[in-house]
Amino acid sequence: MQLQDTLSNKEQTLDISKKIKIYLCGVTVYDESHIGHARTIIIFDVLRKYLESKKVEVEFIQNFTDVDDKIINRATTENVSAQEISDKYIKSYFKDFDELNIMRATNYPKATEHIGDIIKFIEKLIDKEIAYVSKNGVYFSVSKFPQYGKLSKKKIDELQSGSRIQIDETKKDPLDFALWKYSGINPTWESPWGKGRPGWHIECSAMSIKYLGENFDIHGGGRDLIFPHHENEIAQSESHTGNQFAKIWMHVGMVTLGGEKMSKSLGNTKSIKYVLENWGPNIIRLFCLSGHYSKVIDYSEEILKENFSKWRQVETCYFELIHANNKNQENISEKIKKIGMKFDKSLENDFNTHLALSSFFELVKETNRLAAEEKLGEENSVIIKKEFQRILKILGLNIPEMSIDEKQKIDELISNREKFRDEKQFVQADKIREKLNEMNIELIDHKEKTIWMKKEKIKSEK
Amino acid sequence: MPDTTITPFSETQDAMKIISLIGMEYKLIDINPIVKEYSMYLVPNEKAKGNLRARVRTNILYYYANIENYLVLGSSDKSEYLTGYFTKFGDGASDLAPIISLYKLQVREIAKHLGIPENIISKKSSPHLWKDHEAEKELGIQYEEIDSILYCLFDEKLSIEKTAETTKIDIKIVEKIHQLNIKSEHKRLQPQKSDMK
Ligand SMILES: [Zn+2]
Repeated sequence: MQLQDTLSNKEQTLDISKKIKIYLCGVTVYDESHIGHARTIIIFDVLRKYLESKKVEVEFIQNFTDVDDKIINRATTENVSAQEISDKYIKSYFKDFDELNIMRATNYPKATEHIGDIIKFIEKLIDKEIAYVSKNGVYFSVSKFPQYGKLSKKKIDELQSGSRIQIDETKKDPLDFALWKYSGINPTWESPWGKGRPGWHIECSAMSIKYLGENFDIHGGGRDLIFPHHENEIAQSESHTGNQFAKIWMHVGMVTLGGEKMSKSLGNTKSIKYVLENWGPNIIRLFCLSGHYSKVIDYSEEILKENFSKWRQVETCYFELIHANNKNQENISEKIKKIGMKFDKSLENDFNTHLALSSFFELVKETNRLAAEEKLGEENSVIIKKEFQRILKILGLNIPEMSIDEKQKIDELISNREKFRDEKQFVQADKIREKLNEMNIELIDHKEKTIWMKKEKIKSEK
Repeated sequence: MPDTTITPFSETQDAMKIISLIGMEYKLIDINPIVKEYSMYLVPNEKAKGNLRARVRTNILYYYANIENYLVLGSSDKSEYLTGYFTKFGDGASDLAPIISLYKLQVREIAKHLGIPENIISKKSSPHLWKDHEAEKELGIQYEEIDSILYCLFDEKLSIEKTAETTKIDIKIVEKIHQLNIKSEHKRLQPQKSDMK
């Protein structure tokens, strides 16, 4: 598998002959997660599902930043403890992302549960004279890491001349960043240098190395994390271990709204709760996978509507496959095999979910065409269904299984309706149709038969 | 076993005083570095950390009991036991509880009889699980009153109303002590076992 690596600015080969170790920077738990977070996490979820579909073992670590100024500020405003704020939003995180059908990570380490590891990490940097103790905390000395800027392609001297007038006089260099900040506001911990709490970047270095080792396969996150967060992570980690940190840096593009960056400070975010309520998990996943992961995608109701009609095609395909019984069949096995291979190839080639989706919809359209032309038989259906289900699983799309009872009930209602229609009792027939509508059952008429499909309820449809 | 960041030094001095009076062997162990190390890897929570201090002490007691083949004596009295004012598997854990049938006021009487220094007998009862932690402050009532209420409720088996009448203590307070007892029932029971014949 080839993946574009931000660091080398080249495609790198991911060796899938062994276990793959992935670290993804998670959320800071001070507020509801939004569609931008969802996109990054969905991309990595599909990557993981794809690898696992190929029987590759994946160890997936995603942190929660649960000690941070934003959390403390919110706690102060709401007059509760920082812990209450982070607990609340961790619960909220799992509610949202479980509903989005995201597979749970191998582990979700929290900064507050790794203070000991963080302190040891900083101690080693001080021993190596790469970090220094100052009046306000412990700082990383950027000049001690000559490769600083290699990820974000920034030059140290340009950064220095471009940086604003130094506010913190206790830093040796304006680019130096905090590893440990002295603080009297809870939560705080004792440290060899003074009571305080860790800086943001250090937790990811300490926790990724703790769980995945010094040199793991993929480090991911949103593009907005490249600088300074990931740049600093590299500086800390490689100074600490003397080895290469992550092998591949994979960054997911932002979600914009009307072309503008979505951000909490601008107040133009779409929370996951909002989009889930209005569109449900499948349409959101289709939307998040619709562009190349490294590029920006723009959120709009129109685009979600487009994905909504695509989702209806997928549902139609599924129910056509279930009801397939045409006698006259086309030989489609070669075609389906090719589509499946194309799907895989797109993902193997820098994880192009956009192209992979095209292949998937080729499969959907082909099936729906065969059904319309009364050429979808049971044998065809078995071949297509296998591929259809495989792709559905990789993309994390979900059509709820129906119980046999439910299916029987629907079949019964439909045959009653037909009986009434044959007897020209249209009032009764319409009543049944209404009832089917309430159950979100849609009838699809073919020349020889009428089949039904159960559609997902989408609030925004009306 | 003080936590030197929490326990007032006077407490350690009092303990040393008793030790020299009896002439027993002892170990002075500051549990602070142990508690600190724990909290480097656990989500911060002051209350849970308070109970952790009690449980760290229990761990150490049983560590030495293990080595010496000793039994651990518990220091819970009847007032604490009935109100559940102890840490489950912390100071509540022991092999023998020699003073558990005595109310706190009775313990003080016996202490006088045994010739325990006056300042130890009369000082405010405190678990010192966190800074400035005092039992009566936390419970919101004096032990004189708690003991009278508990005596009426559990030894004389009087009703809540009758207890309030006899002790002339506000029925709300009686009710509160009664609730403490009910809510702490789990602390006095053996672990509930499923499917054990
Ligand atoms: Zn991170």
